Amino acid sequence: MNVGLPGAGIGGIFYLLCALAMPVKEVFLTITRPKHTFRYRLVTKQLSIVTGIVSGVIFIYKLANNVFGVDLSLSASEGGTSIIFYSLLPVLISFALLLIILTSVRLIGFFSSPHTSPFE
Amino acid sequence: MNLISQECYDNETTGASRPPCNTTKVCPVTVIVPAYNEADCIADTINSLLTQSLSPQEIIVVDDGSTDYTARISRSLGVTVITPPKNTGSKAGAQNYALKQVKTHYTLAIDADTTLKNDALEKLFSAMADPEVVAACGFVIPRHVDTLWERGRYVEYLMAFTFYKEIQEYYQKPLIASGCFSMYRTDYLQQVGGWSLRTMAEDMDLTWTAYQLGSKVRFISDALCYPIEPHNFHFMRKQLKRWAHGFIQNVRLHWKGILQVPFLRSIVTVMSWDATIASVVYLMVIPILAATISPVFLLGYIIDLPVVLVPTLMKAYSRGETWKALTSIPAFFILRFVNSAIFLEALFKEVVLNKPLETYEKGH
Repeated sequence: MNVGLPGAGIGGIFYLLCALAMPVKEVFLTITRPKHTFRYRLVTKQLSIVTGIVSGVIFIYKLANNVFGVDLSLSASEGGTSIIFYSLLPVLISFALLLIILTSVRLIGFFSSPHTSPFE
Repeated sequence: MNLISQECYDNETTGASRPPCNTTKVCPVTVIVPAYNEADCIADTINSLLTQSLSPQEIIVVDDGSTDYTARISRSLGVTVITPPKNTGSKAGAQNYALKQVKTHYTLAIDADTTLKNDALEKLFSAMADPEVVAACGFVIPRHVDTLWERGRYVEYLMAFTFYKEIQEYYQKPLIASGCFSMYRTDYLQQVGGWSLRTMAEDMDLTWTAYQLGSKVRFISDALCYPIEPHNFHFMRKQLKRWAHGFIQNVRLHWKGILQVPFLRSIVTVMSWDATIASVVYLMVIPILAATISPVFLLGYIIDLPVVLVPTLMKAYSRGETWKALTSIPAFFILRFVNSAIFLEALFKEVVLNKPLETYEKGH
């Protein structure tokens, strides 16, 4: 069940970051919990997906460069239009937005009163 | 001793009359199949249950006032058929009617149009070995992938269950134990009063309630089920409308509680944000920017294509369905467009007009 826009927005970035955190968490669990077994299969699979996604995004930018002739460099070159405004900036804004939203929710949860029973 | 043999042992000591598990591989699971005019597909569902590698102890079909041969077909296949005095008005109502008759430790909820891979029940059952797990769900793949809407849904599921859901499972918070195929501890269902009628997404309600009670929910990616998805716009709209309203209703109902549940609060927040803000950007901002500033802004529609394409193709390749997935990608973007519009409509009705959806409409 997905509502709204699966794949788009900050959700995609959120899950990418979660996948990137998986090997770190696995290492931590392996060190701190003697019985824990590193979940190579799952971590490798998700990291492969992340690698594919990041490569895909770069490919789209490259394609945009070739098709639309927009400059992909970080600074606009003479006579060209830098795509930085359309690509990198929104991505950075999305990261910042995600951080702000998740921090806000965490803080609201921290300061909110204990809730009543969920099935009353 | 694993869970299955433990359950066998328990049943033998209590003198249960059914055959020993180690010979017939029967597990203490009652399957509830709510059905309303499902004559076309109920036989497939029951046959799929009867051919499982681990057999359920009982299969109960709730014939919820059908006017076709649903009950007759079900009885002919040897399962228990019960009929409420009148139509209960919802899937949850039919499931609750059957829950009163469940005597096993575990209850499997499955839609009448959903078939299972032959080891799906066994795989789901194995997840219940952890006493803290109260619900488990599987991987959903549309059975028919022909129309535009089925193709869109096919891509959506391959992407979501391969990427999002596996990450949710890793962090021990699957967003939802899908109503079309999920197993529950019966005592948990009884504790919370069964499938609640207070929202249009009773499966999400059950899942979020479990987390707030400190219980676990699992997603088992190897447990495959194959529902029939809406094949045209008429039915797809009904289903999306129900899901959108159900999500909003659950957020309003549980928001205080899920604020205290790490990771769940994050995925619900992110999903809410994307469903509202990203929908507005998708439907309004991008076209306006493209028309007034530069057509380059149209890239916004495909900028996340890799997020969709990579997990979808990875799963499709493993199933030998790469071409089918590739040719279905455009349908996903159309479905997503419709989905976002329906969500905004639902949000407006639920929050602004304060007109919650209260009537359950079947999605196919």
